[in-house]
Amino acid sequence: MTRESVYERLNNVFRDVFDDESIELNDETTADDIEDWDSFEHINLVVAVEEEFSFKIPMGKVITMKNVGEMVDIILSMGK
Amino acid sequence: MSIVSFWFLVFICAGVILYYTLPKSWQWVGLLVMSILFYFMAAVPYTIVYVLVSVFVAYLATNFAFFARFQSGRGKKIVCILGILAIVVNTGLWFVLKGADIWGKLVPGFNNAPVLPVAALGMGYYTLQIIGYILDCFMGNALPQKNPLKLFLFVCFFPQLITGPISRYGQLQGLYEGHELSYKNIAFGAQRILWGFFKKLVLAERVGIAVNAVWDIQGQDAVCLWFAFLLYPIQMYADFSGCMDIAIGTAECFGIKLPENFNNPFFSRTIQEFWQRWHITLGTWAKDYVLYPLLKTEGMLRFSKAAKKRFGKRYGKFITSAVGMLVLWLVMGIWHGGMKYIVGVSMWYWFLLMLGELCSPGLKRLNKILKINEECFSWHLFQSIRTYMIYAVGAVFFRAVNINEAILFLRNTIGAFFKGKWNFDIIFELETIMGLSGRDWIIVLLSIVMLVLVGLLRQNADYARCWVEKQILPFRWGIWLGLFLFVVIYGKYGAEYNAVNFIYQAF
Amino acid sequence: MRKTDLLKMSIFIAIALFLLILCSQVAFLNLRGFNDHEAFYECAEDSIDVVFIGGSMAYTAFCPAELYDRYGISSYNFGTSNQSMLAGYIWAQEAYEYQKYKVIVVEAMALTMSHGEIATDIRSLFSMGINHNYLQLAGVYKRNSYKVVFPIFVLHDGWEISQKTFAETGNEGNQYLRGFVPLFSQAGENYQESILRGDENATEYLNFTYIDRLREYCDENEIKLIIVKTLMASNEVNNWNDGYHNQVQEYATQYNIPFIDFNSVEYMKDAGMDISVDVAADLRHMSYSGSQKATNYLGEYMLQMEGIQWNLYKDPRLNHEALDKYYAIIDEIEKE
Repeated sequence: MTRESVYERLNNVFRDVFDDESIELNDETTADDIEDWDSFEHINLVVAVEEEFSFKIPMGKVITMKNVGEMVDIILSMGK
Repeated sequence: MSIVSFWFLVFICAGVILYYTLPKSWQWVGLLVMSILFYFMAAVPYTIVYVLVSVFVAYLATNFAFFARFQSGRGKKIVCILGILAIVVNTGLWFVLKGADIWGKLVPGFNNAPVLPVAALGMGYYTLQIIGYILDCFMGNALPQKNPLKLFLFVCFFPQLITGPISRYGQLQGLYEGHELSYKNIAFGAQRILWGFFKKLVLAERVGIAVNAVWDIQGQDAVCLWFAFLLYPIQMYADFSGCMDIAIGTAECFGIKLPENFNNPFFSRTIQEFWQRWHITLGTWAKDYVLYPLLKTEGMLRFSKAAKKRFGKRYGKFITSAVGMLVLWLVMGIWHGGMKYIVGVSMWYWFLLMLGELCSPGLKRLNKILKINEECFSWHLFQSIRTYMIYAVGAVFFRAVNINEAILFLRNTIGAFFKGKWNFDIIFELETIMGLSGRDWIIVLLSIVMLVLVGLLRQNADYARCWVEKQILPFRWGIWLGLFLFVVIYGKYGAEYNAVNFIYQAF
Repeated sequence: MRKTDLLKMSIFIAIALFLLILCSQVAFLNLRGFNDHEAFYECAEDSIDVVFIGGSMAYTAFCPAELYDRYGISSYNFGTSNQSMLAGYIWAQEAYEYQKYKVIVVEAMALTMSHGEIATDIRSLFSMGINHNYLQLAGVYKRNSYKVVFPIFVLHDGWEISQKTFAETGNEGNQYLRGFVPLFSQAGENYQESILRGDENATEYLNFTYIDRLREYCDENEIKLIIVKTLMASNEVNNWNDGYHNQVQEYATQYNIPFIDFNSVEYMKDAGMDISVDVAADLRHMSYSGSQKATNYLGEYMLQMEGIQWNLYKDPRLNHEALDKYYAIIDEIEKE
């Protein structure tokens, strides 16, 4: 899995969850950048990401994740 | 000893002197001693046993589990069970001692809240903190604390013992570090404490006199009821956030940063935003340790899928969020420790949030049609007022003794529009009816203006005290000494002396 | 932390403390009560032989000018509104530092209030200023001792800097009246019976702590202690009754203290008192005519007490002119 492929799949997940085709993610994207990404959507997102990449993000990381870049790091480290 | 008292200030002074004379590696011990002393002075001493039990259970569970976690299969099971047990014990303790109002009414055989042994001080707050610590350890966010005394300090650190904020274990690592005596820490801390005293003694206590006057006498007419209804949120905010300021300022004197619990809550545009600005640490705690774990369970995931299949993506998501939020809000309501909070906090806000979520797209479209500029000041003002009113309704449940009283008050207040007696002449007799003179009302108004200004400064620039720090010395000192005098002269420290009463006390 | 920072902090704290004390002083002036005793400090050295303490019942019933005019006994009346026994005890000590008096008369109503509320006690002691005797209050009100030391915390927002703050004491002519306040109204015919009915109905047990301390203080300094209860009208509810009378009588008997209760029929007759004329219209305090009778009775009583070296008619401040001025003031007040 490469970073780019992860981003491709992640973009799809985000666009699906937020119903917004224009979303383009990068390492710095945070909840402030996407309207509707509130605390409740956050967990929906996490669940959707887990489904897409077929693994569980540990609860501890769910709380401490700061931006999309971190999320990608977690995916890369877990998704072997 | 209350934290809003002369002796608490003396306590802090002595504590600060002690702290900075200790060698850095012993400073945390100084804090521990202070916290225990404070506990004995502020609470019924034997109740510290409950705190000890909580800490002991958590310590065992987290440290034992830490060693067991690296074993496979069976080890993991033990880990889970230990963790759950620790949490159950803590929650159980809290429930028995503080939740009596709730289970007293649900369990048959107890007529009302039974008379129980006294609960520990700050039980609601430290229970959440210790549960947070346990969960953090089990989720891998923190390493268990090997020193039981240090864990005990985390739980009973005295500035936040009585009213919070609810800190995370990771946020308070500063407790165990050594701190250098810093002018900035002491100055900022003292300023923050002064600000807290101002809010509590000058504004909250004063407004409280008027609100109590209305609430204590039944059958007030509409004007008085509305005064009380509209003033009580101010009292609550000034009281609660004032105590926060004192707590945070005290910790700051020791170089320890506590999390903020308020951030201009009445600037909020929506209820959702309100709960990110009011009692922030409670909301984030419930979100991180209740809502998220819940929504990630197998059961919820299956439920969510089924709902989406049955009702479509939008409504499926809505139903899932409704269930999740319901649990979250029930926890937050129950935590307040009474049946009335379940109505005034849980039900009220859950219902409004759900309503808001359903209607939000429709309302947005309506605004577009009506060409309402959602970014303008007046729209924001409207939203703030709306937020304030919504909070005022929920707050009635805090002030009333029980649900019935709250509903009665609301019925009288809101029903006044239909059949109330509106006697506006009362405005000329406010002093006798509500106990506040003309000068008192001016002080209230002035204080509110100060709060708003400081709030605006914080929202748009930085904390007001940072702005003050940049000014020249005479101006800075003028402000702080002026505020100090304002609190000394216009603070209400209790009812011993009332100028109005004195007049009739001549002989 | 640098030395300049430490200096800054110290100066700031010093200024804050100074402001706090300044406010407290101004607030203290506003706590001036009804009936102040600055005039006491102007009395001639070692001229006063008798001291009266107690509440409003004391300052309306005991008249130093009359006592001097008739019997030559120089005295001062330290009565203040709602004076508690604690405040009275502190006044007794303060007075003794200036005047080695020989007799102290306690008005018994003070015994029903062992210590008052902070503000009341501070107000009672106002005239002595914040001195070492006043600060005994801090020892009693331990939790609130900071309010004693900084009265601004008691008065807080109830005061204004007005003319009243810096005005002279409210009682003009107090150097002649010496703490006495005459009341010219009268109770009238409806209240003939004594308030003591021969049934025990005390509402609570009296706390004798501070009268005890006063008694010991008197023993040490060879001062004679007398307890007096002034006359009250029969309709006066709950403040004096047989229960209180009996408790005080028991205490007085135990320690050999004279206890004169003008409400009991013997003393009332002996002093020639009549409730309709000698009690004021508020039914609680003695009227001017009553005060003369009470004062004269006490004068007679004290003169026949044993073991006292009186300095009769020796007070330089109460010469004929002073007494004339006193009577003029009385006339004026009566006309109002």
